[in-house]
Amino acid sequence: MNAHILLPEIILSITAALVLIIEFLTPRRLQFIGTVTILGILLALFYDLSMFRNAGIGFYGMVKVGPFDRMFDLIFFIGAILLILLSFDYFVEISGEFYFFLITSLIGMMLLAKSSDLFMLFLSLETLSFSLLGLIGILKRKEFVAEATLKYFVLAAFSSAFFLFGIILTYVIFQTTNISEISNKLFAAGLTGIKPGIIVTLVLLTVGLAFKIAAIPFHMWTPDVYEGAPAPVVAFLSAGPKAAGFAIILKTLLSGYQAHPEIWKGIVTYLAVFTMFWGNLAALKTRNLKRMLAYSTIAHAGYVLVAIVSVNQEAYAAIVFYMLSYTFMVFGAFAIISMIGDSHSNLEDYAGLSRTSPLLAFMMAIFMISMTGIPTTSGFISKFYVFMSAAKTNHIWLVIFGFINGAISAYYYLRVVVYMYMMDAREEHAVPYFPFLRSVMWIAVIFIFYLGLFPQKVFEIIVSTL
Amino acid sequence: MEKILVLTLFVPLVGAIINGVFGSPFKKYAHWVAVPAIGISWLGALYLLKFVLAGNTLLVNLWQWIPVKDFNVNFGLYLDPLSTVMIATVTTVSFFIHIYSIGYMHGDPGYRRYFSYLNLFVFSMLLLVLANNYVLLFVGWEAVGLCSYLLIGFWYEKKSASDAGKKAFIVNRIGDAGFILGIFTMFFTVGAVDYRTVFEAAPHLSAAVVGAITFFLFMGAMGKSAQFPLYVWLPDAMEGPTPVSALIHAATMVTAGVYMVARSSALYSAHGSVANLVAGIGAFTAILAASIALVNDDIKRVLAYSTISQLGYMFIGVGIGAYATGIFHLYTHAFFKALLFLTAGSVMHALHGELNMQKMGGLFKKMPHTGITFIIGALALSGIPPFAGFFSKDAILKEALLRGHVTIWWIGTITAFMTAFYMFRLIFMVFFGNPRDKELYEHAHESPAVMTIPLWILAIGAIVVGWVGIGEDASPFFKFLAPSLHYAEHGALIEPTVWQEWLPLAFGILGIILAWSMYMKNLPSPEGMARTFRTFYKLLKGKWYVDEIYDIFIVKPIHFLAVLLFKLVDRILIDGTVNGVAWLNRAVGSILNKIQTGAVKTYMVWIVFAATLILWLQLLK
Repeated sequence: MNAHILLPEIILSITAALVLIIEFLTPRRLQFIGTVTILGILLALFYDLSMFRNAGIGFYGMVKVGPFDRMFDLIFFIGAILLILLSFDYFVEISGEFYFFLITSLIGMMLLAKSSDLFMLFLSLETLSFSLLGLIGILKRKEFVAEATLKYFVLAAFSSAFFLFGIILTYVIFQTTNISEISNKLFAAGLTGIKPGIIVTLVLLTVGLAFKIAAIPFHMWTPDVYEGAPAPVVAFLSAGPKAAGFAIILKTLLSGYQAHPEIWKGIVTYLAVFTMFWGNLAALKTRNLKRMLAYSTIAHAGYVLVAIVSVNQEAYAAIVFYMLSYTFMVFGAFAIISMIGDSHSNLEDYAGLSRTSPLLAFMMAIFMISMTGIPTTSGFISKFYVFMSAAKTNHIWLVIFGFINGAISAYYYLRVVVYMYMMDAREEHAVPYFPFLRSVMWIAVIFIFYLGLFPQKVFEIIVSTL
Repeated sequence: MEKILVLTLFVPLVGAIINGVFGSPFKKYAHWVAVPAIGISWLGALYLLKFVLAGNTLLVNLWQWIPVKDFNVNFGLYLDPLSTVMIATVTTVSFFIHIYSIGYMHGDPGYRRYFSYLNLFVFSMLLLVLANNYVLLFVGWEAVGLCSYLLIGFWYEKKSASDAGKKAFIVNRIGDAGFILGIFTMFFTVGAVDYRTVFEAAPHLSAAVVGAITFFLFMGAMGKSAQFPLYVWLPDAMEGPTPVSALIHAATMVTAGVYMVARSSALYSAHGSVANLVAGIGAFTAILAASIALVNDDIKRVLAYSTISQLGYMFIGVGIGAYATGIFHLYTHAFFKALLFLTAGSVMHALHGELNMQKMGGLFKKMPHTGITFIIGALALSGIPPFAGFFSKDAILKEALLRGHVTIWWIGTITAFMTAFYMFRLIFMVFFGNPRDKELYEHAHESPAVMTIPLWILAIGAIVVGWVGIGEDASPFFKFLAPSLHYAEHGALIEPTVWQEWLPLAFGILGIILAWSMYMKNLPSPEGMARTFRTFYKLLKGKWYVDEIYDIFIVKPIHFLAVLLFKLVDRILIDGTVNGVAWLNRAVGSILNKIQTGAVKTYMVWIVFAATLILWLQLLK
């Protein structure tokens, strides 16, 4: 069975059970449970890193692990730890189930990146979706939370149905759901006779996946959920699960259907272009920061899709780098949103922030600048790698569209800076001192500049896992 | 030597961080960090100048920044005569403006913030000129822009100030978008972005490619250096503190575009038509801005239009291929324009922030230091020998003539006349004649020594800095610069006749005489002139209505489009269907209706619709 290759996941499962027991014995001791969770994650991380270069197939061909998948694990771990740090200051009174859901969603994501069978993929996808529901709806008494949770639940189930149909059709066509077997069959037999069937399958699978990464037009849940859910959870949603979404796309499209990229490239190209434009244009008009970042996360997914279209090794590395750097940016921004307060996330609430809390304003400015993609920040390097891989594979139009979008997005990101530095506050209220939120902010800033100024090392590591 | 270069560049950044992050307990002493930081940088720059004067250049790769297999961007600095001239000019002017700021910003609640931004600006500007590749240049380019927006909107309690900050920001985005496109065109065609590789490849590139690169880069320059049609932000930028206007919006940042074109001389001289466009835009901007300055009554706005006009001259210089003359004018202009702004600031300081020249008059007696230094600056700007501006402006016009650009020469000469006129109109209105507002006049006083000493130093600069360029190509300044610049092939030179050589000077003197007779002797009276040329006067007073034209043809349509798009997509398509489905729900009374969010169902309908559409498109292929 080769069980040891999933040792990190097993450790995490035990931690999850432990968290539930502790919660039962001594309820609502957030920091204690959180610390236990972090320890569990660190232990899992340790084993993950110690097996970093070991590749293997296990669980009767259901999972296939390689260094590249473990690279994704790293992004998930970072997201989870940052979320726990945020939660210490953000939540006053929640049940310890929060950490349980956090761990299970982490397991879901890790398994997603490692599944080598479509059914395994589906199971992990559902594990992830249900755990995320627990995270989104944790503050059940708060305004909009129920709405956000419900919307996510219904739409996630709906898109999963598409994905499931896609899997069934795949089985009908290939008599297998194993991704590498599909790939082999496609290489051997070609497309004759099965092309329409494959196209239908791919469209169905794509709908399911596009929902996860919030690509247009399957993005509708994003703004509502982002506005309703607690800020730390939103940050987590845009980092981990999104990276997991890209991991599956890489699996299904790039390994499963690698033999014939022409049949899926069209779809992904449409998605990329529409996602970039729609996300950025819609963000222009929003005046709520959380909603704006929801549209911005859509736009960022569009940029990553550009990398997927250019099927080459550099694109793979670019995607991982992008998600890594985006994780820090989005957590940094949401750490500050958490400090100012969820219910004060309109642009007007940020007016004059440079005077009331100059440090926060400056940090927020850095996060916005990084998201815009201005050099010396990681946002620039990640965009650069993505568009470079597209340019090298002669997708010049995608690069040009990317640039137009970069210019559009600068407007709304830097508008935040304008508000903080050039507007007068309506009412001045001091922002309390939150040690954990601040620590996340500092971590984010340090990594944004580290990845922005010295990307070489990290990029080399990513490339070495390919 | 590398260490000195790194020190020169980074000390201002350290100053900015100390004041910005740790300085809050020592608010009032922010200048004790900021001024020494620039001082060290200044000394470093002078030391480097000595080093480069000895014929050395220096290329320092601090680290590999963006490494990809066959493409590499280094975090590298390049010290050659051109960048040395720039860092020497920038640090010298910055140093004195920092000192002046101690007096000018005294007691301002944002004192620490101000010095932190100012230090950060100097760092960014040095990075811009020292970069050895276009990406790093762009970093500096964006960073100086950022500091500029922050400092324009420094007094953000004033709505006009924050509006001006936003305007500068938006207008510059247009130019910067072009600049990025330029870098990417370079990247796609040459495969490199560092100066050396790009310039070596330039002669082998097709005309279309070089044309595209240079055009896009020039778009960036038009934004940053306030050239037509993107000049509209600079007059409004005067809402910032006056030392900022002097440093950023006159002496240094706005000249970044000129520097960039001169730096890219290998590219610009490889393609004639874009270079001609640069010169043409420069000439047009020079005369357009000068004409607006003729009738403006705001002391800082007059100087702002004059800056735009002088930048136009510099672009004439670099556009016609006489790169050294453009840089020479940049260098002299930095001194006398900084001086003019600081003296204007001194006047404002004395009059409690009053900017309207119609309320001033007779101030010379009250503030002699400010008055004399202002006149020195004005003489330099008007191109009267032996002041600095004479040599540099003359060099540009002479080169224009030599290379056969007679129209441009005429425009430049007429602009010289206008320049002298509006500068001396300002002097006669502000410093001479009878006080127009008695109360303001009574309270006027000379500024403290911390402000007047920098004025005098810059005034001396405004007199002498031009001397190093006497004799043009044979002069030390031009010889020094020559290795950094690439010259285009040009046809036979046309030697100017004697009257052509002296006409700009004659026009300048005529301008001064006319201003004197109109504003001192009332002959012809300004009011009479305004009445006689009523339509023209109104056009000038309205600044050719360029802002209004932009508003009608650009701002309003874009705003309309954005609102339309928002309404169409969000309101009608999404909300509309939401409402429609909600209505349907009520009618059918389904179970989901109890959830009360009609939206979820609409979203599902959308998903199905989109999936079908994609499927249809795919199968159709």
